[in-house]
Amino acid sequence: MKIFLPSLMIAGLLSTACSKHDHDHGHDHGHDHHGHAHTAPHGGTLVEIGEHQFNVELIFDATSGKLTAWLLDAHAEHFVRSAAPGLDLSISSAGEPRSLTLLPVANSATGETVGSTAQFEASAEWLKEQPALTGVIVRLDFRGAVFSNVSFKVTAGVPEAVGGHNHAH
Amino acid sequence: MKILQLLTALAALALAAGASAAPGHDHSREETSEWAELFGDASLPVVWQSITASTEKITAAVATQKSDGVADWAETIHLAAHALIDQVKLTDIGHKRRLDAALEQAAKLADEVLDAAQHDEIDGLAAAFRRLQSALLLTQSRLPKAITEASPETPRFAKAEQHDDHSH
Repeated sequence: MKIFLPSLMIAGLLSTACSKHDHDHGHDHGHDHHGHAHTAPHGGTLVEIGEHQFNVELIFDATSGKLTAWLLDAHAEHFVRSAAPGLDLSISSAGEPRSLTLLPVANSATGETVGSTAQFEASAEWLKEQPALTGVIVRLDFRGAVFSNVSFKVTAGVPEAVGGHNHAH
Repeated sequence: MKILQLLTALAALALAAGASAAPGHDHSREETSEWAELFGDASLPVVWQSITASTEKITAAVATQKSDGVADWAETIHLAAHALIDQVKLTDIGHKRRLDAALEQAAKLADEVLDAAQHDEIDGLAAAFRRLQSALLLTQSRLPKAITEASPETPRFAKAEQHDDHSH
C-alpha cells in the first residue's frame, strides 16, 4: 500500500453544513444555548463548537471502550462531512490527561469515506468501565475556522438508535 | 524497640521490591520486551518500513479474500507501533502525544486484524484493515520525515502466536 502524505495535509473540512441561519428555535431542545437547544440524532451528548456554529455528538460505550463522534451542523440536524484525518482529544483519566485520536469511519450505506465522513471513533482499553469521560477536543479545523480546547463531558451509554447507525446525510 | 522498627522497615522494603518485580506489574516494560526481540536493534526507518511492507502484503491478501499470512503481518504492525511509541522522541510534547495516540489506535486495530485473520473472518478482516489504514495514514503524517522518507532497507516480519486474547 502506498500512503500518500499530501492527502493528509488537507486539514480543512468538506461540508454539507447547515444552511439554516434563519434560526427556527421552536423544535425539540436537549442542550441549552441562547435560550434554545438541540437534540442529538443518535441520542448522545452534544458538544457545541464555536458560537452556535457546529456540534459534535459523542457516544461513549464503556463496555467496549469505544468513543464515537459525529460532526453536525449548528442545529444538530445535518451531518457535516470532514476531510480531517483524525480528531484529537485529551481525556482526563485518573487525574492525568491522556490523548485519544478518533479516526474517520467510512460507511458504505451513507457513502461516507475516509476523507469525507461525519463519523470518527476510537477504542482503548483504558476507556473501559469508566462511568463518564471528561476532556477537551484539542483542535478542530472546521471550514477554515480553528477551534481549540473545546471542553466536553460524556457519560457512558449507548442509545438504541446507534445500533444500526442508520442516519441520513 | 529500635531493632523492631528496623525490622519493620526492612520488611516493608522487601514487600515493595517484591511488588514492583511482580509479573505484569510494569505494563510498559512488557510492551518493550514484546517488540524488542524483533526491532530491538532496528533503526526507526526499518520499523516504519516493516509497517508499510506488512500493509502492502495485507492489502494484497484482502484483495484476494485470503487470510494466509495476515496474522503475522498484523503482529508486525502491532509490535512496530509499540516500538515507535517507545522510541520516537519529539521535543514538542503535544505532537508526541498525538503521534502516540495514533500509534495506539494502530496497535489496537492491528490486533483486530490479527484476530479476524486467525478466525478466518474475511469480512471482519477487511473492515478492521480499513480502519487500520486510517490509523497508519494519520501516523505517517505525524512521524518525522526522517523516518518515513528514509532510504529503503530490509523490512522485518513477526510470527504471530496462535491465541485468542491479544488485547493490550
